[in-house]
Amino acid sequence: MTFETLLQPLVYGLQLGVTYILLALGLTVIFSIMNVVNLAHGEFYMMGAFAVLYVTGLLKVNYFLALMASVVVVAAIGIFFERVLYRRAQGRVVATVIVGIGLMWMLQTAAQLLFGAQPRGMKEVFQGSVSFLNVNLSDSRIAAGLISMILVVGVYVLIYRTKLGKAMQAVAQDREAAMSLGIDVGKVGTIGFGLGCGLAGVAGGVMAPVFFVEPTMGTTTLIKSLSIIILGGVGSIPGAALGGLILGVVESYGQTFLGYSATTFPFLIILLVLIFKRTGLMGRAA
Amino acid sequence: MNALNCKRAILYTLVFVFLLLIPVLFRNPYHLGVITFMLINALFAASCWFIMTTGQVTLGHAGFAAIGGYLSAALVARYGIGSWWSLLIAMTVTGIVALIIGYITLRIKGIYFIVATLALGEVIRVVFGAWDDPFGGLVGIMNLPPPNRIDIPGLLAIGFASKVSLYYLTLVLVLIGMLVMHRLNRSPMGLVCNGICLEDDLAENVGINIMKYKILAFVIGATFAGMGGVLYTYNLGSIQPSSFTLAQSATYLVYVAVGGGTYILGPILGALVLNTLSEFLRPINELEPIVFALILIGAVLFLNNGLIGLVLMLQRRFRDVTAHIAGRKATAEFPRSQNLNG
Repeated sequence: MTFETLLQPLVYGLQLGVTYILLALGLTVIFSIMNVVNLAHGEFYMMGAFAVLYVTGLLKVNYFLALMASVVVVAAIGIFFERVLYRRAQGRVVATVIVGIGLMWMLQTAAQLLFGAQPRGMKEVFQGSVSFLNVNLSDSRIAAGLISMILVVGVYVLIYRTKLGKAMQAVAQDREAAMSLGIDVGKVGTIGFGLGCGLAGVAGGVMAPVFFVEPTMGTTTLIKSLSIIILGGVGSIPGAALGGLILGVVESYGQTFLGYSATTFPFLIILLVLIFKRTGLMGRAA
Repeated sequence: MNALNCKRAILYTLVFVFLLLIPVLFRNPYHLGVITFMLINALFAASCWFIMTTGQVTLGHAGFAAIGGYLSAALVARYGIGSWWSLLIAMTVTGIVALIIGYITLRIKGIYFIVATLALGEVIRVVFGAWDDPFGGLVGIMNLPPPNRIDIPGLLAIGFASKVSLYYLTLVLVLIGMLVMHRLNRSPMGLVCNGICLEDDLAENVGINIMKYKILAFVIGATFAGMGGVLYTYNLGSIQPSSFTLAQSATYLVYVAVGGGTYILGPILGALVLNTLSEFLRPINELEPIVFALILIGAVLFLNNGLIGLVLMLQRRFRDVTAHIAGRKATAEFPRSQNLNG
C-alpha cells in the first residue's frame, strides 16, 4: 500500500464531506426551527440536481447561474410544501413523518414522470483534472468542494451574524419565548424551511457534475443527512459540520477498502450513536 | 347477549363466511393471489400497529418480515427442514432478535426511535443482500417448494400446491395472528400499553415497568411480522432483499395512519382499502404513488383518527340523528382516547 492509495480517499472524502455539510445543515436548520424531520430532504436534493441539469441544458446558461436558479426554485417548492402541508402537521410526530413519506413518494414519482427514470450525467461542465503528489482530483470535484465551502461559511454568517439568524436561533431554543419577544415564529419557520430546502437543492446542483442525476437519488441522500445530524448532535450546527466531514472521509475509505458493505456505514452510525450517546458529538442534552 | 353483541356476532359471522367463500367468488388465480397478499399486508399492518400501541412508532418493520421470510426459506431450501418446523423456528428466532433489539433500542423515544428503526430495517436488508450462503445474496432464494402436506392418517390430508389451499393456509394463520393481537390489546396488558402511549412518564411514576411492556409489544409485533414474512415467501415461492426496503416499512406505517390506530380494525381496514385501490389504479400504475401520497396526507391532516375515526364519527352522527328523530336523548359514546396521530 502506497502513500497515494491512503491519501486519495482522504481528499475525495473531504470534498464529499464539505458537500454533506450543506445537506446536513439544511436538515438540521429545519429540525431545530420547525421540530420536523423532513423525510423528503433527499428529494429536494434530487430536484436541485435536475434544476441545474435542465437550466444549463435547455437555457444554455452558465453553470453558476444555474446553481443560483436551482436554490431559488427548490427553496420556493420547499416553502410551498411547508405552508400547505408541514405547517398543519406541526407538533404531531407521526403526522410529520407521514407527511414526509407522502411528499417523498409524490416528488420522486413526479420526477420520474417528468424527467424519465434513467440516470443522466452532466460531465461536460468541468473537464480537466489536477494532480498533486500523485493524488488526482477532477475539476468538477474541486469546484464542488470550493462552492460548498463558500456556502457553508455563508450559512454560518447568516445564522451567527445577522438579525434573522438570531431570530432563528431564538425560535430553535424556545418557541414560546421567541413568540413572546415579538418574533414572527411562523415567518421564521417558513424562511428556515426555505433555507433548509435551498441548501439541499444547491448540494444537489453542486454534485450533479460529479455523480449521475436520477429521480431515486434522494433516498440514500436522506439517510446520509440523517446519519450526519445524529452523529454531530441533532440541532447543532458545528456538529453538522464535524459529522459531515467524518462521514465523507469514513465513507470514502470504506468504499475503497470494503466495497459494498460500506453502504451500511450511515445506518450503523445512526444506530450506534442513538444507542450509546444520544446527544451525538456536539449536541445539547434534550 | 344484548342487541349490540348480537349484531356484532352476526356481522363477524358474515365476514368470516365471505372470507371462506372468496376462492369460490374469485376464480381467477390472479385475483386470488392479490387477495392472499392483501391478507398478508393486513397482518403486517396489524403487527406494526401492535408495536405502536405503546407509542413507539417503527419504520423498520420490513426488517422483521425479512428475518422470518429468509430463515424459513433457507431452512426449507438449503437444509431440507419441513416447512412447519421452519415456520416455528423462523417466528421464534424473529422474536428473539426483536427481544435483543428491543432491549437495546426501546429506551429511545419519539422521532429518534423512528430514525433508529429506519436504520435497523435497512441494515437487516443489506446484511441479507450481502450474505451469500445460505441466503443467496442480492439474488435471494428462488424456486421454493410449496409447504409440506398435512397428513394425519384417517383424519385429514391437505396439500398446498394450489393457490386455493395457499389462500386458506394464509387466511387461517393471519386470522390467528390478528385474534391473538386483538385479545392482547383488549386484555389488561393492552390497557397498560394504552396508558404508556398516552403518558409514559406518568405510567412509570405509578409503578409500571414501561420497558417490560414496550419490549413485550415489540416482540409480539415482530414475531407476527416474521410470520407474515414466512407466508409471503410461501406464497411467492421465492425471496429477494429488494422486497424489504424502507418503502415497505413506510407502507405498513401508512396502512396504520390511513386506517386509524384505535382498534386493530384500523390498520386492517387501511391495508385492505389501500391494496384494493392499488388494484384499481393498475391502468395508471405510474401515478399510483402520487394518489397514495395525497390520500395518506389527507388522512393524516384532515381525519382525526384515520378511516376508523371517520367511521366512528359518522356512526355517532347517525345515532344522534336517529335519536333526535325518535325524540330520545343523544347517546354520548366516545372511543378510547388513544390516537396515534397525536
